[in-house]
Amino acid sequence: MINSDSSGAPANGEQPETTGRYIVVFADGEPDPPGVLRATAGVSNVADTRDFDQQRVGAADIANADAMVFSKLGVAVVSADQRQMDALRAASDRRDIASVTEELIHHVLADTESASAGSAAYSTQFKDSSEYTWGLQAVGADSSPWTGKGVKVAVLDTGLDLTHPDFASRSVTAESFVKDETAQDGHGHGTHCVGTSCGPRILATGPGYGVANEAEIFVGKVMSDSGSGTDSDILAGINWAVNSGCAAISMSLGANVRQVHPPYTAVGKRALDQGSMIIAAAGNNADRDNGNYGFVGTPANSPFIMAVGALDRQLDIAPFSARTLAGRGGQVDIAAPGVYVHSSWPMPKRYNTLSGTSMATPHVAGATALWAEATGYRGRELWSVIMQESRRLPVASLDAGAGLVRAPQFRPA
Amino acid sequence: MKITVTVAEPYLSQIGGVADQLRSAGMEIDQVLDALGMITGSVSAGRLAAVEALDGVASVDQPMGFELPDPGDEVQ
Repeated sequence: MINSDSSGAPANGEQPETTGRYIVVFADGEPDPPGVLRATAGVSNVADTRDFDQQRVGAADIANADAMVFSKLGVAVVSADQRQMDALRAASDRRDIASVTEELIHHVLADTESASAGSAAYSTQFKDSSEYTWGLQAVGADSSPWTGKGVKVAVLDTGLDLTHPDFASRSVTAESFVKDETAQDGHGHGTHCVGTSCGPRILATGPGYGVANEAEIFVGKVMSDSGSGTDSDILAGINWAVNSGCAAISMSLGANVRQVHPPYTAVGKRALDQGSMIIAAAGNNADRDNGNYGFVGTPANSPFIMAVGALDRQLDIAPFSARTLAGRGGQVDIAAPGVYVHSSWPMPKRYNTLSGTSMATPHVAGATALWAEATGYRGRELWSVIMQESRRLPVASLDAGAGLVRAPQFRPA
Repeated sequence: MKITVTVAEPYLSQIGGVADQLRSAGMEIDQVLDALGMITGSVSAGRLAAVEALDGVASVDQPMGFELPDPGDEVQ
């Protein structure tokens, strides 16, 4: 195991050890890195891994050259005087060089003490502000420059209160798959979930509560006003969402059934193949205060459906949030705010505060829309970037998977 | 009984043909979900084995039901 602190100051406060050489990272796809070094800084004795047998390079080869270009990586190790480095650093503002940094000396990790040093940084207590719900703050939607604009998000639930003033200016496509019921929400659960995933982020009547506040909303009613639904209605809703090109499909529904239900394995995979990621609630069947950790039920236990656990305002796992079920697909994949979540509710009540993995799921669906907008990724690539970018927590991975879902923070190019 | 038929991957582009065969085998079809390769409907218990044996059928499952808590419940 090799330790690198190249991303910032080391946790122990010591200065990083350096070699006196520099690491130059070229822009993605730069066709002629040696040419860039020559033209920019006059570095002439440039070796290129492409000139070596199977691109195998040793320490002596690097020492003998003023610069060694690792072609497959788009990176060079450069020995240069101050004037040359200044020229390269100045060029890093241009198109062909991404960064210039000092080469660091790395050490084999002596022990794992340092791994626990950061946990105090997580001790926190989120609360709703006048501007944003605690959930939007925790996932970083409050500070994200992305809004989900141009991305379609499906929420398959009990529908939406189509008269709700907070959605008056939004693009909403609503369809009911429940016999003899319209997409108008006669329960409330659906309106709450649509609010968290796609509702307003800036609001005069209370804290903003929607993660992807400019996403195109696809409301698929698959659960009745009395709160029940069947496979055939849910599958019809997924089919509609996939055909509509929804990048994220939010399903805050589940059954306390351990067995993986085969249709959802096929459906999760086929949806991903077509660029639609299904996100489902892990389930609320735990009672952790009494030693019962529960299990991820169907459909979240499908291997191709992202299972979402619920976090409280201290970013600890919620007492009801289900734990990973042994076996393929049974894991909790990620976690999101799911305790005391303020969101929209059918009029005239307008707002309601609820808890559950049902409330955590649309936080992930909304964040998925932001990543889809920010990266252009869909399907498996989108899944991967969300996992990679989630914030690890000092909580068992059995309960929180990859950790707290996070919204993209980088600025649009 | 109600059933959900998962169409096998190699048959996804011919889902209409699989539906025709399911009808011939005695299934009453509610929906053909083209994007997902799923067919929902019902069949008599006596015809179930014939449906399961068809080429292009990956699995036949009985649909599950899902229930949300009452709107007033604290945990959803």
